[in-house]
Amino acid sequence: MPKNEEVYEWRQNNACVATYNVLEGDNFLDQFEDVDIPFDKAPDVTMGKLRYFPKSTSNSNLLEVLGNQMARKFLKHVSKTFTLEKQTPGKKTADFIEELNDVFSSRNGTIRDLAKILDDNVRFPDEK
Amino acid sequence: MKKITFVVGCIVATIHSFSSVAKEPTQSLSPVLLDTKDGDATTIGLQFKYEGGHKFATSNESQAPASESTAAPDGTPPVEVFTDPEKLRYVGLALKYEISGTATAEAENNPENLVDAFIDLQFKSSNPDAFGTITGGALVKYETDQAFENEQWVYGLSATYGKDDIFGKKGFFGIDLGRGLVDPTEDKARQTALGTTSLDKYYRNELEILFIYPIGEAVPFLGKMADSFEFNYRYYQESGAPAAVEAAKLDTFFLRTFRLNLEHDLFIAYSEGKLPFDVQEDEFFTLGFKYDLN
Repeated sequence: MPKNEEVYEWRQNNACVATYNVLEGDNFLDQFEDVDIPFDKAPDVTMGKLRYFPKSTSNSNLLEVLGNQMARKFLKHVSKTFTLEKQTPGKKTADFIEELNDVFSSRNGTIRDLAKILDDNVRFPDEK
Repeated sequence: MKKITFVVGCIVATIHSFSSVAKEPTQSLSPVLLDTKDGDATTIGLQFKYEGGHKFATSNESQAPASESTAAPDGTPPVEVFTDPEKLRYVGLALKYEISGTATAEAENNPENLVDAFIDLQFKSSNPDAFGTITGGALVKYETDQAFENEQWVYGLSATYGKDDIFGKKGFFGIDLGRGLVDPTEDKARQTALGTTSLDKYYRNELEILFIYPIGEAVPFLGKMADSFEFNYRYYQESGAPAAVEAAKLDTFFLRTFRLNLEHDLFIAYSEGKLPFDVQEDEFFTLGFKYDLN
């Protein structure tokens, strides 16, 4: 994240709760257990600590395709709970996925980063 | 000259028509403990990585009509909905750069003694579930060892495929293939094998396979101890290697790793093989924990 950018506030809004539930849920991505990482401690957990992230290689080509697969799955699960109304008219789904892809491909990307991207792109019911 | 200008113009125009996403530079450091079977002792290592880039993407989704982007007469805000990600197919271009490697307290005990830095121009095709993600492109790479005693440039092409949910909705499989022209600036083992200080360029094929499986879910009694199992295989093969290089076993390198990721960031890994610039093949266990800096 750029140094001058304000840190996204992790809170009980639709974006943060959806991000947490999709990553944690056994029927969704199942990347951790809620007893190990409760909601309040989740925002600064990095992708490198989640189950999908490889520890035996740093090959950026493989991380890129893996991150793309995860980004698509993440958005698919969010879309089953919420209608993905655009926050910014004209914004493309491909760009949305690529933003998520960058986080999922990065060992240092955080759960907070995912929630911010989701909040920036989707207009949730609690924002209407 | 006109043709070149036309081609460059077309590429610039095509890229300009794509929407773009900047990838902020990130860096990571991970301490590891490496145990070389033939080495004198266990050595502490530091895995490092610095990367960044820029992406351009275009998709098969249609832009919303202009009328949908303006407020309705009754003041109702306009609503546009993202295309269903399960049906979306898109392509993109990316320019990436990266420096990565493993450094140890004693370079001669480093079983992963390969540092590389590259710039890569890549094409990506991202497809709905059944097809996975494909990337391919051209890259310029600089490879060296920890002590910078050996170094070479690689100019090549690569293609990568990755697919999630391959076994019963679980697990990831990825394969990365490459072929490049290697220009060895300094390679002491090769110079010794060939008996010359002047080294010719040669072609090299590369392969890397990654398989990850959430073993804790598949094997219930491991559930509380293990998070995931990984298999990683890296293979480098020189095309048409001279007999002296083959005799010195410098034409083929591989490294395979089996790794069990445990709870609390602990892991156990077993590796066998060697990477380019390594003269001796090793079998080694790695025990460690991870710590990320940014």
